[in-house]
Amino acid sequence: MRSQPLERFLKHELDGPDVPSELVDKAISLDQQIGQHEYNFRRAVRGRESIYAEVQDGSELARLLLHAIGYGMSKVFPIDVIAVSEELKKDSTSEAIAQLLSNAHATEYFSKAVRADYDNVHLVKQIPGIRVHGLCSDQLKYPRMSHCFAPSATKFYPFFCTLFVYQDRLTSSFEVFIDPSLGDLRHQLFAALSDVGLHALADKLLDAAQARVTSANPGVAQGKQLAVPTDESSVRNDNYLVLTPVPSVQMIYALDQAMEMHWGAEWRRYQYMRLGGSKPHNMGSTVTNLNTKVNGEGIVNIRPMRAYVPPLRARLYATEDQLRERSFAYSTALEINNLQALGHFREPYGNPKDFKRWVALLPAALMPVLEPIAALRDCSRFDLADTPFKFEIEKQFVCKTLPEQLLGRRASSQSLIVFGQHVASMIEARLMIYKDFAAGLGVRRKMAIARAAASLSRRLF
Amino acid sequence: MSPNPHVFGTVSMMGLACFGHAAIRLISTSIGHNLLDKGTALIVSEHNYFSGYQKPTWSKPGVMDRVVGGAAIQEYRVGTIKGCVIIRLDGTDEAIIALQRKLTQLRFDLAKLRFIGGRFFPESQDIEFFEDDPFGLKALEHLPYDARVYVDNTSLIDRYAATHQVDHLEALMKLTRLHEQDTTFVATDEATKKAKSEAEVDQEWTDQNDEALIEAELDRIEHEVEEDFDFSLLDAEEWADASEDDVLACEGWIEQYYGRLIAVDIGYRLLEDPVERPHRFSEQPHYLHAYAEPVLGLARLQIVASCRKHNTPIFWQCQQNHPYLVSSGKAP
Repeated sequence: MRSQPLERFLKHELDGPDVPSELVDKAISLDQQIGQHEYNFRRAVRGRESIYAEVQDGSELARLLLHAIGYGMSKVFPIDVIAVSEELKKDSTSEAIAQLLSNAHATEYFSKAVRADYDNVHLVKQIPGIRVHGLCSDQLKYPRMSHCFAPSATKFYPFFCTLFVYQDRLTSSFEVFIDPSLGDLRHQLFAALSDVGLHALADKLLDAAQARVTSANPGVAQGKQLAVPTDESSVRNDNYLVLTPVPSVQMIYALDQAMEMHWGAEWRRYQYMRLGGSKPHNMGSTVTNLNTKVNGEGIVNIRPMRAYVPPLRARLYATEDQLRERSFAYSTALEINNLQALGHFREPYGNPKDFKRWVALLPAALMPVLEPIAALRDCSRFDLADTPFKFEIEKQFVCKTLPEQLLGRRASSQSLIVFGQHVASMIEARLMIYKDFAAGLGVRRKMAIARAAASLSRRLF
Repeated sequence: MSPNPHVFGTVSMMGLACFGHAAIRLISTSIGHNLLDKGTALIVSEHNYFSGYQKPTWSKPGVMDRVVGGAAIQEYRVGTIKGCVIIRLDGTDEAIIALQRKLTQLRFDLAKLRFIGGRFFPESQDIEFFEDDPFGLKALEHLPYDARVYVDNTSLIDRYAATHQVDHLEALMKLTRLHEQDTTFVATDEATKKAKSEAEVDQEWTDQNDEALIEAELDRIEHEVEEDFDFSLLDAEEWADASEDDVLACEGWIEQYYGRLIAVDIGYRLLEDPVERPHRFSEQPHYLHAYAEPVLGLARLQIVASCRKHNTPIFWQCQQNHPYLVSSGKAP
């Protein structure tokens, strides 16, 4: 969590006494420095990761919020604080800002689309976090965030979305209004607003905050519902609990920031999944409403945690009973009867160095195994195509030199890979009955043998 | 089913547990006796993601009818999974005998199940019944040994956070990237492993004498081996099956490490105590309802052989542990 003094955050200075080293680089031009400063400011007032401002008391916070809302209104630097104060003294403006705090236009938990024309649901976490299981908003060290949806008042969003650092703790301006532990900062903020002449705004905010904190969860269940079994005898007793999943905005912001910090540019690697404004099913149109405005405020990029399961190719490895069957058949043309010769494939390796050595010796170990097939190839018999082979792939390799019309198929580059896998399977089938539990040779070994056999056969055939 | 905007890309474990429960409910109705739901396991033998951008589509009318309230849901298909689901159940002797008698018919009944948020094609000829198998070992015998099982490792988040003094979100992010760390050079000097920068580590690696020796030896062997031998398999493997010794040498607190850890949706955390709420559009009696927040957990993709060897609990079962209502891996 990077932070800088409030003065530095609000004004750009070339050289100052306490300038963070990452911002000052003599090689960066003035334009770039101004650009960086503005970038930091924009991100911090939108609730994203940036170099936050350190706030000591309510008056500093009031100043920060005035700047934030000034940016929201005008979107240009430098911000004219006088004009902002004049604008905020109007009744309509202060009413709009206070409305953003109420549940007409804001929510901490998405129950359904948060729109001005829907009956919005405001939810409060009534059960404190007793025990820890997995990860939910209880265990986050991220400030509470509220999602606002009032298309006419987007310029006032920064008033509640700004992130800053107070007493070494990252907080949001929304949290100042509702969190009981920040009560002193809240009082100072209201006092500071009154000093500037914004009494009406302070009063309305106070009322709205009170109403928000004390409101109860709605009486009629709204949103998508699931009936979830509570224990193993739910079928018999028919006791299901009906839930409405409501993801918390705090978690979405925290995950977005965490994904950005950990994956950063690598996020592009998963771009092919094109999460975009991510529409997970069963969330309905709620998530769509998160980024209806492309360049506006209150846009949160849902960047969920990516659970990447690497692709499993179709059947490189056979099931155990198939392998047992093959091991008893033994009608392959490969030479796998001599277990001494197959000893290298079972050799244990303890670390990557040994593994590299083992891999390097694989072609030598595979040669005796492939010898009969090579011998069959080299002897030119007319009736080779009629010789019965149990395995099609072996026949393909032995008869490769014969005209294609005798075989009726073409050997392609894929056949080499298939042949390699076949060799690995046969070796494993032969060795498997001598292991105490049926795990076969192991994924790594098998892949190595398959590749070695493929490249060796490419040279032989 | 993925009712969780926090994690994307894999099956929801809560959805899996509820799917198993739905299957048991269907079986119970069919045989006329009640069964106990003891959990569901998911084994994946083939898996791939669709490439390119998948347009979210509205569910077709056939699926819409079965959805709660008749409202359409958005489907966002990301890939295909081929594998098997093991449902663990318990019941009276009467119930089990009835189940075995009706197994042929159940094969067709179970094909009526639908998976919300995706297409589900069960192979009705492949439904088998195993008796007296609390760990699922008999069922696992019939599966390829390298198929991946989702095993519950949610407790690792807490342990990692406590051991490394980080918060839970950080712990989760680190755990899901654990397989990308190269554990070999870290094992050489455990005392200073945390304080090293990348440049220092590289320097140390090149300073080691035996590395030069091995390089020379490998070069010698390489010239004797065919030129087109593929050495790319010496790079980190996708499936990250690190050996036990490698991992124990650097991370002493993790006992078994066979396979990648991924974040999954495991269930919900109630925001309030359940309250009787009325139906929105009808006069039916009130029902218990609660708002709940989705919870993330951790699953390990462990291979079948490892599960068989260690008798790992592979079944996900719905549990209520106030305020959590989650599916968690349970031993019998």
